[in-house]
Amino acid sequence: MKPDRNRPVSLEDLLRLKRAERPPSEFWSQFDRELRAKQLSALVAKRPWWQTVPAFAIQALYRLRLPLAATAICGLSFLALRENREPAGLKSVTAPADHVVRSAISTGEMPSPARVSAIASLADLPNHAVSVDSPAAEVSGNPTFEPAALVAAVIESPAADRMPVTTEPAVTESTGARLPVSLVTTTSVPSPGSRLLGGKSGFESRALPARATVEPLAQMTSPGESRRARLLTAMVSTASLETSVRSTERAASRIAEERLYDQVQRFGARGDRLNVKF
Amino acid sequence: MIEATKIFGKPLVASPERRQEADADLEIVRRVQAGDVAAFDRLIEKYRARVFGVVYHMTSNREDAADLTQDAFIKAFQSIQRFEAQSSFFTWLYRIAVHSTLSHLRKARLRSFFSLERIDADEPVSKEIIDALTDKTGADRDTYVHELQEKLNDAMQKLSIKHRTVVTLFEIDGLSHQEIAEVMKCSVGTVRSRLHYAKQLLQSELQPYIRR
Repeated sequence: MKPDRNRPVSLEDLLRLKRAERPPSEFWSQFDRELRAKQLSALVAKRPWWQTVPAFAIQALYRLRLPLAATAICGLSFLALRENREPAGLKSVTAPADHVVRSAISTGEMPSPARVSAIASLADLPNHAVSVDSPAAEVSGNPTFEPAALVAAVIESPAADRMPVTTEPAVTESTGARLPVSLVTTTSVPSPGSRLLGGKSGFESRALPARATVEPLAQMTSPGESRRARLLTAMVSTASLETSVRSTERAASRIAEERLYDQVQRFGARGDRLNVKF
Repeated sequence: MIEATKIFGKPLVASPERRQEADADLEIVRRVQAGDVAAFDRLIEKYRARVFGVVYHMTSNREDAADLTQDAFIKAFQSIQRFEAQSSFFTWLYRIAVHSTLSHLRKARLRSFFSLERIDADEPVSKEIIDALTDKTGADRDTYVHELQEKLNDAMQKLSIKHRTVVTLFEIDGLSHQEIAEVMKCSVGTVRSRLHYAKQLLQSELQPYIRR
């Protein structure tokens, strides 16, 4: 039969030619072998958990997405509100004065000679309470440094029992010394939730504390008080929680017994005064 | 029973042949879902050439097409418990294959390596078209057919992936607009628009071979 050269050829005809692109028959036998191997390995292979979730469970979750989301939002809002309504409680930490003094000394961080030369006047201290704001107070349970324990024993006079020790940083030492505090308050840190969800963080919602008028003379500190504050602050603030145990052990190992005896003799308590000789 | 499929809320009534075919497929699928794993082989045998053809014309690479076709069957086998007969098995399988291929093509956009199958020039339809295009015989005819095949492939590769897919599904595999829309999860209007644009571009590329 003679080919029809006058037959029109359209784009569809040309694309139909592509249908005739077919792999040879032997291709299919190899294809089947490979597919069988893949099928077997797919049967053996462990499927991820999300593929094992039944379809009805996924559909149920999808249908209930709005109520679930609303419930989650309500729950979070409730929690945030409850967190926000809790009063900004003031946490008080008290400790006996002698306890803290001992802890401050037992750290082995001795104050400078100039400061220690002053005799701490312990009698006129107002009460027993001790403010504890720094981690130095937590080392009070460390009984390893015996010389310091001896010093503490010296300090344990009836007057020393009434000594308030402030562990405020050195910057505020004079202020801390002036305050006749019975309990030291530490403002609770607001939780992230309350900060995010309507905590009193804005300046407009924060009530400014009323400033009390203070007499200028009342602001002046007596020299004895400032000295005492300097001494105690220097002793306590230099104490570090991390280094206290190590430094105590190091100091104890270095000090010989004779020298220790000499050092002990340098301390003396008379009446309401503590003497330290250098 | 599959009475109709839905695209964007509009029910699409399948042709009686398609419906009959879909019902037969569904019966096999129910058997596979019931635990008769061997029944899936019948579905593989029935659709492997068609799925391979679609993937091959999208990728123009025999090896990639073989891998992607196998992967499509494996995915279908793994997910057959989730098949709920909302569409025909054939459409579902095509959708898996087309989406796997589209994903593969997006990943391997820069790597274009073609390995083409030979055109069966002895097939009546293709023989008639080639005879209309050339009067060459023997080796010259083979060379001409090979050149034509390369030109066709180049023109197809100039299309975007989505346009190529639409052309492949409509012109080469013979799917209807509705079926293509269902496979590609787009509207029938989008399918028509893509087809029109793709044909325009192919026409300009293959102008020397088109005879009016």
